[in-house]
Amino acid sequence: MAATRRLQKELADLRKAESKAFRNIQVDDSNILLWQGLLVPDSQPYNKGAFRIQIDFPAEYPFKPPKISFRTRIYHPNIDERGQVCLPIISPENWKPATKTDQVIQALIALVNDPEPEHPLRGDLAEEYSKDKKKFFKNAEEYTKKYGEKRPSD
Amino acid sequence: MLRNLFNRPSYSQAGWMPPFLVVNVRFNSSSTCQIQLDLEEPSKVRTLKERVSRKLDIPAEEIQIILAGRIIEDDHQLQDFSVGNETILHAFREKRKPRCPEGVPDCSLEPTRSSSQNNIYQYFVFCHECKSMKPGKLRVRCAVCREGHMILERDPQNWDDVLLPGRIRGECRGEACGTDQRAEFYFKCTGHLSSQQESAVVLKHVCPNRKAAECIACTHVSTPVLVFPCQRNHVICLDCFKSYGIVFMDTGQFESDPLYGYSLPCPDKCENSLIQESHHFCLLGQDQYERYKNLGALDFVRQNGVVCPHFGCGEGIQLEAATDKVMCPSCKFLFCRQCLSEWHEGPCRMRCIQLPEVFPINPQSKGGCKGR
Repeated sequence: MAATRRLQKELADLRKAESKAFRNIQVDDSNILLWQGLLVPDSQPYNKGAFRIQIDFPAEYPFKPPKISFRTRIYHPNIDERGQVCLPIISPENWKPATKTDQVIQALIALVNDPEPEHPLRGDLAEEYSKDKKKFFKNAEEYTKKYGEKRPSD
Repeated sequence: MLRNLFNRPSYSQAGWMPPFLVVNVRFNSSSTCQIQLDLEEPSKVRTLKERVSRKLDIPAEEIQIILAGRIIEDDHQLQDFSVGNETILHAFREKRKPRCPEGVPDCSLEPTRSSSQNNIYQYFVFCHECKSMKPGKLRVRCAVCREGHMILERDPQNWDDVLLPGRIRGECRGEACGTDQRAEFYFKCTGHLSSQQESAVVLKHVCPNRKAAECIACTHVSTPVLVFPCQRNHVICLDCFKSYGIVFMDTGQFESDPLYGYSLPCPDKCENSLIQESHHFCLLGQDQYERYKNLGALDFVRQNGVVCPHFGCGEGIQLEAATDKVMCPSCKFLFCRQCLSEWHEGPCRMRCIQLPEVFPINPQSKGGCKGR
């Protein structure tokens, strides 16, 4: 099966890379199609916490893209209340089977660190971000402290 | 004699290989002699000639052996040319030094210098007799007498030379033919003994993975692989090609091409990457290949006509006139080509349904998630 072979290799590569921004990758032995990990952004206002994300790979992976969702609540224009995130690299129109999960996570980290208010999932937050960045940063930081996961010490 | 031949176990089909190799050497289509060679040591062409010489009482240096359009030299090893049991080698009697062609291109008939049995094949065929993909052998015959004693005037340089008729000529050593004849290439399956009806179709995108390229999907290195004709020559392993084809058939992502028909581009959607020959979809499995053919036919009808929308009919109707009023020749249902409902005068009543935004969660949301 293409998905299993590919994901085993990707998982091994990711774990070996020991990225500080995406760590604690947990995969159940019985289901390699479901990953969880901790996203640790280093830009304000999200650098006050960490965020648990889930990656769902379809059985047809890599011919169909994975889905990413946040399990930790986040105050972000591109991530909605249900944790859904809009990431062009994994949209069905743009998806390329050669794209590695590593690249997907890089794109996700870039989006979290640098919101794109032009393509929002939460219009209210996008508006706040564009019009009053100070207020947005204050709210987001409070939100991160309240709901975010603890950041790893190293 | 015939019965003997058929009762002999089919060596190549079973895993067991006999310690000897039986080849047939045929002289000017009149006499055939069977030579048994020891497989323990590599069989040189010279050894074969000596055996033939002893058997037929012809001086060995006067025997020329032709295989796949070329005189093969004394020092060549028979196994390098994928000569197997029951292979027919053509021979003629002539005192001359065999010519030695130079500048042999990549896809030529030159044997690969590799000791591994699996690596000697460079062509793969879909064999309808074996109902599977097998290593194939490229063979040449005279287009007139259809015999194999043909010496090519030049080696094929590319797939067009092999697949398009009449591009390469040669000298036929048959009695009735002459020096300038059209050569005809064909492929044989290595999975069974030669049969009258060759039913092997070459899969030109499948080849041994000599460069050890990773599969674009699963990243593993295997051989043989399918190489897409895109500029970057994307490689996919055959397991992944199967999944890829099935997923893309399920999701209706095959493309219609005027030249190559209903086909699949490389997974990275490169330009000019469509599979150019439909038998490659046999690799998806028999059921899926049937499905592919049905979908392809349906697609062709849609490109050039319309499918009758009447319940239970589904007749493909080719449209010649540019009219919206169509009558199904099978069930006589009269319908509108545009909206596929019963024929009506004037504009169609049915409208396109507006599709909702992908994430219609927040009414204030301006953009929504799109593959920007």
